[in-house]
Parts: sequence; C-alpha cells; structure tokens
Amino acid sequence: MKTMIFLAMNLLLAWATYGQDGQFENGMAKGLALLEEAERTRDFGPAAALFERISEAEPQRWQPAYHLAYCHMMLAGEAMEEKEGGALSAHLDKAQAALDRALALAPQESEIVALQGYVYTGRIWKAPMVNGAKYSPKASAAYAKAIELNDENPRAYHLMGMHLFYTPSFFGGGAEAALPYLEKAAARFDAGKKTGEYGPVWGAFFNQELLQQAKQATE
Amino acid sequence: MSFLKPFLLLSAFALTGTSAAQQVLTGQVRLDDGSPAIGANVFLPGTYDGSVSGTDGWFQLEMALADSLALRVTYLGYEPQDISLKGIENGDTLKITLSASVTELQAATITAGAFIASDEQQSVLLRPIDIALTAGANADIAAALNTLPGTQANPEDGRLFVRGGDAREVQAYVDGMRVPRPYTSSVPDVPARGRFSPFLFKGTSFSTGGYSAAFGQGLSSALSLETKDLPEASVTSLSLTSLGVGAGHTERWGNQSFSANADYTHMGPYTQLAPQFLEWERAVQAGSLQLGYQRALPANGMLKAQATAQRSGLAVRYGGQQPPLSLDNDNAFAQTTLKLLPGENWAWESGLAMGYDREKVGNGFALDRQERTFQARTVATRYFNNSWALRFGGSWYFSQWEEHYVSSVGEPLRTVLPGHLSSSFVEAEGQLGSNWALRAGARAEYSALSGQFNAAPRVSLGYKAGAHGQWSMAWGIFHQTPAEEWLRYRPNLGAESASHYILGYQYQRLGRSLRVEGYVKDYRSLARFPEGQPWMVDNSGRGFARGLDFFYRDQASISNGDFWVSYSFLDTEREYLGFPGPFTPSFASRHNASVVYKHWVRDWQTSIGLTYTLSSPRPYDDPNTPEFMDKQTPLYQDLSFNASYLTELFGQFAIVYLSVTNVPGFRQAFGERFDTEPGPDGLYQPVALRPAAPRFFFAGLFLSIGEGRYFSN
Repeated sequence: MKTMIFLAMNLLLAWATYGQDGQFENGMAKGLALLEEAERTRDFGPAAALFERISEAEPQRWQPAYHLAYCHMMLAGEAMEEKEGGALSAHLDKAQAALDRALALAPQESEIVALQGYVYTGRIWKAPMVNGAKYSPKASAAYAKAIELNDENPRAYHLMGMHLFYTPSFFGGGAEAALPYLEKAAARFDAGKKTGEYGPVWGAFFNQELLQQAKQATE
Repeated sequence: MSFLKPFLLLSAFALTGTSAAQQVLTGQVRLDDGSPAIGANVFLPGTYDGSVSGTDGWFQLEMALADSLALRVTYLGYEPQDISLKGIENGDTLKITLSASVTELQAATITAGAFIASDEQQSVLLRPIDIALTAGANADIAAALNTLPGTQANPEDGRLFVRGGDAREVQAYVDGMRVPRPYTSSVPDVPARGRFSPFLFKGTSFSTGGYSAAFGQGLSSALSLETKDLPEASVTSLSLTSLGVGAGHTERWGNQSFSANADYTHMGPYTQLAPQFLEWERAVQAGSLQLGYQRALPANGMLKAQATAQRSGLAVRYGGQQPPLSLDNDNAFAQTTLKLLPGENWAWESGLAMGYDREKVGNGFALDRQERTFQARTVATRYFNNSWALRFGGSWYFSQWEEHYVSSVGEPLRTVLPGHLSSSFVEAEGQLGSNWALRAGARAEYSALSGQFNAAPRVSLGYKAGAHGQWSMAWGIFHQTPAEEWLRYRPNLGAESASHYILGYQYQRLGRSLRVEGYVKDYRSLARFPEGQPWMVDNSGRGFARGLDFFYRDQASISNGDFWVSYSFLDTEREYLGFPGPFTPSFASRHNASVVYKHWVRDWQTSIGLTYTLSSPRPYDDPNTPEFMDKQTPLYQDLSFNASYLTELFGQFAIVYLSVTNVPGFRQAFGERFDTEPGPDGLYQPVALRPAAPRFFFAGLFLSIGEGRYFSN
C-alpha cells in the first residue's frame, strides 16, 4: 500500500516536472524565435516582454535574464540613436537589473560578464565626455575577464573589438587595436560553438561589418 | 482502493486547470496622462502567460481566470502594477492606468543652496570634469567654484567667500571628515590654493547655504568632497610643468589599490622669466607627498585610507620693505574611513583623522603657530522602503592651537588653546507624496572650551512644479567657534551663529538649466571688540547678508560647446571685530558675475576654455582718514584662457595643457594695505595691493602610462 502511494506520488511528481520542463523549452524556443525576428525588424519589445515573464517564472536559470538584458541593450541603442536620454538610461537600468540576477546565478559565465561590459559601454553613450573616463576602463576590464573565463566566446572578443574600435586612439583604441579582437571573434563565430542550449547567438553579422571597416581603416 | 483517491483528485484538478477554464480577458493600459501605453507587458507573474499591449493600449489575454490570480503590468519608466482578478469574469474588460515611476530625474529633490558635481547622480548642474577644466582655475577646486553664484571674488586671497561670509565660514570635508586647513598657507597678494587636487574626487557638493545637519562649523557653507572608489586598473602618471614636476603610481590588485604621488614646485625660474610686481626674496617652493589605500569589502563596503604631507615656503618684500615677510608651512593630514552595509536597510560609515599644521612667519618678528587636530566620526543610515532615510551620528573633534610670538621689543608671548567639540545629529530625508521632498534634522554641539551647548534645527523642502521645474526652500541655524586669534583673549567666547532663509526656483530641460535663488542671512553673536580693543572681545557682534543668485547653464545650444553664466547680487553689513558700527566688510562686493565657456574641438582633439569674471568695487579702510571703510577698490575684471590637447606621446596617453590669466591685460588692483603703526609723520604708510604679476602663464605636460590611463589626470 505504502509502496503504491509512493509510486503514485513519484509519477505525479515526474509528470509535474516534465510538464514544467516542456514549458521552459517551449517558452525559450519561442523567445529565441522572437529574438531572431527582432534582429531583422530591430524591434526588441516583444522579445523583451516574453523574456521578462520567463525570467520571473524561472528564477533559477540565467539564460532568460541574460536575453532580457540583451533586449534592453538593443532598445538602449535605439534610444541613443533617437537621442532619448531618459529612455536610454531607463533601458540601461533594466539591463543592469536583469544582469545582476543572471550574474548571481552564474558569476563565472563568460557570456554574462561580456554583456556586463556592454552595459558599461552603454553608459558611455549616455554622455561620452563625462562617463567615458569612468566606464571605459570598467568595460574593457569586463571584456578581458570574459575572454579569460572562456576563450571560445566569440561575443567577448567581438565586444572588446567594438569597444576598441570606437575608442579614440590616444586612449589606446582605434581600428588597429580593434582588428585582432574582431578577427578572433570572426573565427569563433565561424566555429559556431554555442554556449549551452539556450545561450546567446547574436553578434556574427555586425562583427563582420566592423571587421571590414577596421580592415579598410588600417590598409 | 482508497490510495487512488488523492491521485485521482489531483489529476482531476490538474486537468480542470489546463483545459476547462481557458477564457479571454481584454483590457486597455493607459499612462497617467491618459495616453495609451504601447508595448506594455501584461502577464501572470510566475507563468509564461502574457501579452503585449498594442498601439492603442489594448491587450487580449487567453488564460484560466481565478479569483486568486493577479495580473502584472510593466512598462518602461512606470511603476509596475499588480491587479487582482478577483470577481473578473470571462468577457470583462480591464482599465489600467499606470503611474510614472519616481526616478531621480522626476522626483522632487533637495537643492536649496547646493551645487553638486557628480558622475553618479542624474539631475546635477555640474560634473567633476567641469571643476578640473574651468579656465583660470588651474585645477584648483576653490577657484573653479568661484565661478558659481553666491561667491564673491577675492582674487588676491584665493579662498572661497560665500554670500557675505568671510573665508573661514566655509568648512571643507573629505569623505565626511572635517579638513582643518583646506588651503595652502599664504601671504597677502599671493592667492592660496586648495591642498587637494580635484582629480582625487568623484563628487563635490558645494553648499552656499541651508546645508544638511550632518555638517557643522561653517556659518556660510559646507564643501563636501567624496574621494574616488577603487580604480579600475593600475596607472603611472608623470607631469612636467612650468612650475615643477610630479610623479605618481596607482597599483590595483584584486579588490585593493595603493597609490603614491609626489610633487615638487619651484616658482623661482618662472618669476625670473615673467615680469613680477612683487619683489620675491625667495619664490614659492613646495613639496608634497600623498599616499592612498583602498579596499573593497564584501557587500559594497569600502575601506579608504589616505595621508598627505606638504612643505612650502616663500619670502616676499613689500614696497622695498626691510626685512622681508617670510612664511614657511608644514602640513600633514591623514584619515581613514570605513563604509559598511550591514543588511539591506542599513549603511554605516565611520572615520578617524589626524591633522598637523605649522606656520612660521617672520617679518622683524617671529611667529610660530602650530595646530594639532584629531577627530572621530560615525554615522548610521536606516533606509525605509518608501524612499525615506533616517541618518544619525556623532563626531568628536579635538584641536590644540599653539602660538609663540617673539618681537624685537617686549616679552615673548605664548598661547595654548585646547579645544574639544562634540557633536551629534539626526536627520530624515524622503518624499512626501510625488511632488514634495523634505529633509529635516537637527544638530547639537558642545564646546568644552566655552562650556556652551548649541542646538541647530535645519529644514529643506523641494516642490516639483511641472516636469522640469522645481521650487526649493530652506531654513536653518548654523554655528561656528570663533577664530583662535580672538579665542586666545577669551577662551570661553561663545559660538557665532547665522540663520539662513532661502527660496529658489530651478528649471532643467534638454541640456539647459536655470536657477534663481534669493536668501537672507542673519548673523548673531559674532566676535566683536567693544571700544575697538581685541582683548575685550565678546559675542555682541551682529550682521546680515541678503542677495539674489542667478545661474544659467547651456550644454545644448552650441554643438560641442558648453557655457554657464552666473551673477550674484549681495547686500551685507556687519558690526563685528573692530568695526565702529554696521559696515560692509572689505571682502564683500555688491555685484559678481562670471561667464565660463568650454569648447571641444574634435579635429584638434583639444578642449578650450574661457572664463570671464567681473566684480564690483569692494570697500576698504584708510586709517589716515576719520571715516571708516570710505575707500573703494577699483572694478575687477579678468579673462582667462586654457587649452588641453589630448594626444599620444611615446605611445602613451598625454595631455598638453596651457593657460593664461588676464589675457587682455585688464588693470587689476585690490586697494591698499597700511602699516599697523603710524610713521614719524603720524601717517599710516600705504602699500598698493596688486596681483603678483599682470598675467600668469602656465604650461604642462601630463603623461599616463598603463591600463588605467583613461581616467587619470
């Protein structure tokens, strides 16, 4: 009798967890599809909304929080182009809040550390003359750490390359300094290694573009 | 078969949950101004179920309705809202209105009297880099702050004079610790400089009145400087200027950093090259050493320790006078502060500091003045969820002031003044509704020397008027122990006091800021000499200051350009010290105006600055006339220029810096000073006061080596 109850409970438990895992997989698949779409349409709003829901429902997984932070970084970039300083700061704050949760779950994850550097870079967009001095070294330190944590991470190299590309040469940046990082990033994007099943995949296209520009500038 | 019952029951429940109750919920999300919220996230927390509102704010959600559920709505820049679905049925529509989140940009803040330069706060009028790059200031904090309204230019002195107060009414703090001697020692006509480089600080809060109960011992102003946190990377810096050389290194490892900086200044070669009005017997020489240590502690805690030691000396001859006036100064200051965040709602800061200062003055007499200080301070802050914070703390300040005076005639004089000052404060700060901010507190001080106990209440209010405007009001009482020069005649002299009443309006929008502030200050218990005799000093002095300060900053109108304009009107009189009645003191000018312009020339990688200063005549007394304060200094004008060229040198980051004061060659003069004793003809001999030289040129090369070079000076 007791065995039966135990078996029944086990079954129930297995069913319940199975159901949940299926939900995570389906939810993430939908989210990643939305992200892919957003890379084309440049509207990261819907993906941000879904990842906000998933990250709240799955407080033990770093991936949804990571993607949420990434969406807000893209939205921040858009706000910067439209010179909406208030929205830019608000998106950066949202990105930082999501990253804080991801970092707490996986502090040694190279992808998260690299994205942290990107948020610092975002702070420089806000007011380059004022924030550059403070956030530029923070960003490059984060990218360096991301590379150290996982040398195979193409986004760590890509972001470092991008950061250097847009940093004036007298501050140690410029096309020449950026080139080796962009090249290493390209090689890693081509290798196509993914960070886990639901990890990030973005960056290859823009890296190629920057690489071309950097090559032209150094020729 | 009873064991199957719970299983079946549970299964049945689960099935109902997934299939039977799928219903449709529609609704509209609006913002508090009535416009639709486009792209708001509407969802059931803890699930993946949700929707995004469309361009008209409408959303539709397919879900299993239940009384126990709550819907969450989030939208950028607005407070998240949870809406209970109790009693909501299939087909109902929800109307949701979001309220704007209270962020730093939108909330009412406490701004009365304060100019804050910070990289971390959003809606401030200044950034630390503004202080470093103001033309004419040559990276001196006080000189840069002198371009703000509420200050009175005293170029021959170099210190800050705020709203009709004299220089000692401005009290400086570093990381909450009082700095006993914030300026270099100086003689008349050679302006003093601040002892601290502006590059050491991440935040500067300069109050022109109505400041927090956390600070005391400044009748007019508190200047609070906050040192930088852990640097990101190691860096070595070298400087070579027209006045001297400097070298420094900062080493960062793990969560710690150590820095050492040494500077040597010798103005001799410069005074030989550039024509001087002053006759230098011994040009200014100074050496300084600064050490710092920082350590990041768990949970955002921080330990900081720093020490500086400076030695300087000069000798100058006034109007062919014999013998020359010489001044030698040794100064040391060391402090350590600890910040801990025990638990989410508490912050605790404490610190210890020691200071030593020795001034030796010679001019036919010998004066040797020494001051030793020791202080301890602790402050706790309790944060509440509703934006309120309660701060309270105490400090103990010990000083020993000693003076030896030997003249060619008469007995040597020796004075020793030990002083203990204990103080404590409590202050609450937070939001009252969405439009009001309040800071209210009180400070209590006890001086062992006078045996006097003082209580000082302080209140500041902010009222948000529209999206970009804000009103501010402040009232407070401020106390300060009188100068040692007068205390020595009567050690139990009571504290001087001032009451501030401030009303202001500030408007900030898209890179433009305007601020207008009016104030009234009532001085009481000032040190005064009945019958003009210093040894009879008492607290019977009184005075007032009232005025209007105007500030406009524009970072938007000129591409790559940025300027600010300040104007201060001041009306002040006081009856204190040896004044025979109420008179305007000689440091107070009625009108002061500054225009500061900065331009970034991208193609040259150069930042250019221009500062124009205008100050109306100040009164001074000629003892040869029967009237008091009957003479006036001429109008003062200055136009200074500076340029910083950012470049690469030997593969390292370099800044080439050039600056010139008084470019057009305005005639600058500060009236006359008179001998303390009359000559054989019964007249007091005058000496005309002028700047040491008509212009001051400065050129420097600053080199940064290493990963951390981005932020270094």
